[in-house]
Amino acid sequence: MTTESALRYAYYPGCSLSTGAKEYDISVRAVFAQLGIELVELEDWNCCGAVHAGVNSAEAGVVLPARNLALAEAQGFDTVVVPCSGCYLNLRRAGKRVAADKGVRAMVDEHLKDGLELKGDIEVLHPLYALLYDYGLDRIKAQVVNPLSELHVASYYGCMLTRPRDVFDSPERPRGLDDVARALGAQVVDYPMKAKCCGGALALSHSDVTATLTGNILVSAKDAEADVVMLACPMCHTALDMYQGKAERAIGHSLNLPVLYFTQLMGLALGLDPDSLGFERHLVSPKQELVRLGF
Amino acid sequence: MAAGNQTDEKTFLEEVMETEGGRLVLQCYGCGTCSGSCPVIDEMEYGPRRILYLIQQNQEAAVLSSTDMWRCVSCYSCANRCPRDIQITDLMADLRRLSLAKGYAHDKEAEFAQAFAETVQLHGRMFEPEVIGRYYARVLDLVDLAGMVPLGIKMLLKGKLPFLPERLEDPKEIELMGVTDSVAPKIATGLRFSGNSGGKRRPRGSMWNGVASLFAGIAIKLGKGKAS
Amino acid sequence: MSKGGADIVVKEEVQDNEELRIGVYVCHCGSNIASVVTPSEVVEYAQNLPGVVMAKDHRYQCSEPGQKLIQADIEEFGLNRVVVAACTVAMHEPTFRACISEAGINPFMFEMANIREHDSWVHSHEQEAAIEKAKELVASAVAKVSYVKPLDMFEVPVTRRALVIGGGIAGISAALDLADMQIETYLVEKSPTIGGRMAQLDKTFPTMDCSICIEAPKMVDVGKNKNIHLMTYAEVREVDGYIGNFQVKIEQKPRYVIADLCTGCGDCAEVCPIDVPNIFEEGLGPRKAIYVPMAQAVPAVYTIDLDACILCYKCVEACGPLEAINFAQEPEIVEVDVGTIIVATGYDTWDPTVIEEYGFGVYDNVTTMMEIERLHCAGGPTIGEFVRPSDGKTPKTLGLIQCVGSRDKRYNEYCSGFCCMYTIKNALLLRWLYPEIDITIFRIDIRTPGKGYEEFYERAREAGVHFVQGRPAEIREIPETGNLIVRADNVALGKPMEYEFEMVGLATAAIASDGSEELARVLTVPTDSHGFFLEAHPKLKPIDTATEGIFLAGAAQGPKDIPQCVGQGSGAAGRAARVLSHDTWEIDPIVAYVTPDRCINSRGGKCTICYDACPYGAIDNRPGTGIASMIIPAKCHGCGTCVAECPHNAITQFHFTDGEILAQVHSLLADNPEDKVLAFTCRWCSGMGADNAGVSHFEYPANTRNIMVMCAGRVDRDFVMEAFRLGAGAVVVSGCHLTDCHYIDGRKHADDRMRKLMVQLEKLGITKGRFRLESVSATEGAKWATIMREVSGLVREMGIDKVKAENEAARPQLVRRLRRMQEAPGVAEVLRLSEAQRLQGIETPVQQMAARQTATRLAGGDD
Repeated sequence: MTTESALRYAYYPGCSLSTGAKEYDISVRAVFAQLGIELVELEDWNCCGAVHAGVNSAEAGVVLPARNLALAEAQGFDTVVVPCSGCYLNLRRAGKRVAADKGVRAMVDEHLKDGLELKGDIEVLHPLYALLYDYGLDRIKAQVVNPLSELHVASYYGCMLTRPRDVFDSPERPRGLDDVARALGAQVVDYPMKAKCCGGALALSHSDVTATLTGNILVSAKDAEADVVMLACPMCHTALDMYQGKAERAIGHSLNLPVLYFTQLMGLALGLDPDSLGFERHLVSPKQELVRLGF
Repeated sequence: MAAGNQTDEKTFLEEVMETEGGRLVLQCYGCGTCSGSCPVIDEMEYGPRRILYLIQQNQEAAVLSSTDMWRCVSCYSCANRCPRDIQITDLMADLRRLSLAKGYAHDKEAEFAQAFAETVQLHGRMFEPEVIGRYYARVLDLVDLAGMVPLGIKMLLKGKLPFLPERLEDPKEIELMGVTDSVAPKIATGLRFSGNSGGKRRPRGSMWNGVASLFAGIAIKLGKGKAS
Repeated sequence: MSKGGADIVVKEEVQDNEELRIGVYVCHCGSNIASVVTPSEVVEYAQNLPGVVMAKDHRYQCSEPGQKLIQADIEEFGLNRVVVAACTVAMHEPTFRACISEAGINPFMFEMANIREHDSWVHSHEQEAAIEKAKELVASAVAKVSYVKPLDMFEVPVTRRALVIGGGIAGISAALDLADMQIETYLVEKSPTIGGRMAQLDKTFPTMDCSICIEAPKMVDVGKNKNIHLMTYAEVREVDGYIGNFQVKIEQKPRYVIADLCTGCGDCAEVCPIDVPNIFEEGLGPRKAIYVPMAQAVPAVYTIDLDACILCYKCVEACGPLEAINFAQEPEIVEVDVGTIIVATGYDTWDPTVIEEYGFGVYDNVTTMMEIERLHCAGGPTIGEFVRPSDGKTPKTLGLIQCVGSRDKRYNEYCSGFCCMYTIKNALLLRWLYPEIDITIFRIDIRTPGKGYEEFYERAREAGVHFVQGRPAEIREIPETGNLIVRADNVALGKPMEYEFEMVGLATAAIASDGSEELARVLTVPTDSHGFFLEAHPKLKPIDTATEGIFLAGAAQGPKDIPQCVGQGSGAAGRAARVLSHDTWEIDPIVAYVTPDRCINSRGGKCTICYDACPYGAIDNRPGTGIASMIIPAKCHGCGTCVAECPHNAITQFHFTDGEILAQVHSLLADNPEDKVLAFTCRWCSGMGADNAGVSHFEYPANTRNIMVMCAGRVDRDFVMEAFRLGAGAVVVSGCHLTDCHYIDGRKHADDRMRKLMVQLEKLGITKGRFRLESVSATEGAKWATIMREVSGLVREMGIDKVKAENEAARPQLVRRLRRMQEAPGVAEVLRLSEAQRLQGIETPVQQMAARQTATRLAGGDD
């Protein structure tokens, strides 16, 4: 990170943001641009490996994410912003392992092409934490032109944003997204399932499990009278939005709860054009809520 | 003889203790906090507490042939709460790798993992249609596939499914990263048994693997699919 | 106020031309040493060392026959110095010193070689190398003992007065025992009343006595005892001095109430308008701004909490003619001289808020076990009616959770020892008082080590208390009712289950009491890795500390139950009385002394280096006066830091002279130095850490050699440079952790000094890692073993040739920088003699091994 006035980060979109979760990518870029933070997409980034990065080789489990850190270093950055919570954990953890153990660093360098090596320590930040800790909530609040005061927001944290325990937020009772929601003027809804797993990892092979776990989360948010769910991970979004139909069937309960990325709501509050934030890509349409709020 | 096995002299317990997640496995005193925290324990045969116990008892077959680690959703609740600081989630990942390497794995999620790994190994990035294709070619579950079609169509209409893969500039870099250093054979290089490394199970889906790789090959050729 | 001074002189009998008649004894220690290090081989080797007239072995040298053997030999062979190769000095140095002293030899003409903790116990996988190491360690001890001078213990007067810090049950027991021995005792307690944690308890296990009922009489005794000066609402701020002669500064905090005038009538509290949470009630009940913490407070004197007080002065009015309130009071420093100090500062209960999944502090009805104590205690905030916080109703179901923050690597790794018992006690008590309450205890294990404890557990089961084996994963609240859902893997049933309770209690860990760290610094007493005060030896000296004259009692040393606290309180009183029953106490003469004409101040210099280095104010330093610096022996604690700091080599230390230490360096590096790791350890933390590695049997390579000094601060740069000049593979200097140094800041001076040397050595081409500066505490045996493995590994990885080459390259510079060392008293002689020995061809372990191998080969056998 650089001085307070000119934040500039490397940007690692990850595989999901390039395809299925394009609306997250669009909204992150738009919001950061609006706030004056420069994001430069890493050239030639590779898949972080997701849950199965190390399923064939333990080394690959570290090298796949670490290569992106080496790229960031080579391309002149000391911090990389990673919007997908799964990618964020992989890259951050790889960075920590390399920093802590010379042997791991040497192993990583062995598996990178000639001329590419990870010499230093690259900071890995989720955009939520970049905004909260580098940029500052007060600065965001000052730029809100459309406070979302009529919106009851249930923040959904999922797993990898706060676990394993790290320095940014509580793993059991996190509040980062809620703080952002408050800064945007929204009403924060607390509910017991906000940091529980959606089961997104098993979405293809055991979708019934995903459906049940997701259903329990959504019904908990709905019972707490949330208008929308706000989250920060494309895998969770897949589960809560795309699988909402399956979830409804699994728990025998209709839900109709729009699931949005926190950057989309930020875009609305900061005065960006609502049509440019990718809302039309959601399976559970937030149109009704947007209309109700006057967007 | 299971390929990828480092040495015949190490016990299963010792092998686990050499993994990142299993270093502290002997510390487990069976408090059950992990199993109590696990959101998918009802989907498991044993649950994390008993898996750790079985590892301590060197029960390789019971552990590696169970489907437990394939039901783990990597939520990190167990690892976060373990009073012995055992990295259970990472251990589950290491057990997945060991179960594949030794040919025990037989869960649909194991097939998905392989399909995913193969796709990344080819392109350096994910390519959903190929992963899904490879996955169904392995599990041959047409009913399930049919059940996914409505969702698939919705996704297609919303532009959430890419047609062409994105790739790294230099595919050799992917090989270098060791994704190919696996015991599950490379599908793209020919017809082989899937997810099997020792003839422990019958060959499956070899024909479909061929189809999948054909599909992948076409997709690559069609796509200028270069990384952005 | 120098209690030392000119009248205390260390007698030194100069016996320059005395013939060396050294006796060497190699102990088997049963099979502890003998199973790895063959004693007869060491004996055979020792017999050929210069100055040794006889060498023997014995199964248990420390036993009576073993000691008698030494004494007989002294008589028969006219021995004048003795070396015992056995266990650690911490174990038996005093034993053997006393043994030879009885036989007429000065006890300082003695040296021990540790071939157990530092050899047989850690090198069992390298037997041959372990034997060679033992031989060299004996040679080193012989070398040192050749140069030692006879010293006499010097005596200091003992102030027959005791200080007890902490007025809980342990402190009370200690104070009463001391008072019964007619020893004037100061009992200092930081809160307004004595009684401690025991006073907060309702009943005690396993007898179910009313806790305050059995404690209050003792508290009253303390208050009335004419031999006890009770100072409550007071804290110890500074401690100076040494055993028999501590000067203590106690801060009497202002109560704003004149203790002598206050009758404890309570009229003031009745009119006080301010209510604040009462810590004694765990915050569950209020107290006034002018208060006594509990009804049975001793002394029964009120205290004003100025943070809460609004200065309305209604209390002054109510007090009336007694005029016991005085807002003008200031903190007062009371200075007391005592002979011994007992630390009995107890424990605190850990705050479980950080275990967020349990919801303490978030859910009203999740409480701690101490809160539950107060809730069912008849003297508590609800007058004994057991109710739950959210609605004040008696819960029908109660869940109690064990090991909250204990046995947990993330928080407190240890078991807190008494929680199983106190939870069972609370459960049993509540079953009696409220038979309709359904109680479940969640546990990992149940620990009932004391007398009658298992039977107590049986009674709880008989009474219908449920036990679930399974540590709860999380607690959720049902907001409408305030009830809690506890989710736990039920290990017996093999599946997770959820239980609903109206209230939940957490058995939280016991932690070192607040202020322990600061007090430890004030007393220069080390604490262990968990913050509890560290005992001198976990098995044999659980009440002593590393600082002579300071003792521990009760939970301050580690969580323990009431009978253990009482026992230790009495034990500490006994240990203290042992000192206080003498008029004088012998002080170790291992102090520093200045050679006046070498001190630059004697020529008008203005040097203050030694003075700056000494944390005890033991140096009489007069820069610019033409008078040399002088050590005040009674204040000198013998760390040797000033010795190493003095740039003119004007200071040396009895029994640890530069010459003696260099003799050991030369001896240990005489053969094959390139393969060796030479480690300087301090007598306290690091030495005990190395011992701990031995006790724990953490193996490490046998090419390591130890030299003990009192403090890492004693290690001169010259020792390290000389070691490399002689060709050492690696050198390690290890002391206590910076804040734990037994001599306060000796380690810090070592740090400053050695870091500069490290940079210089690297510039001379010595590979980084061949000289290491470490901190190892007494409990860090594993760390010691790891360091030894790492350094040994580096040396062996580099290989003898590479090490030699580096040493050769550095040698010219080292020789240049070591010129000054030769000027130090005694050093030149040692260097000359050890060179002479090399030329005489005294057989060294390596040569012996080579000879044996050759002989075997010639005989046609295997190596």
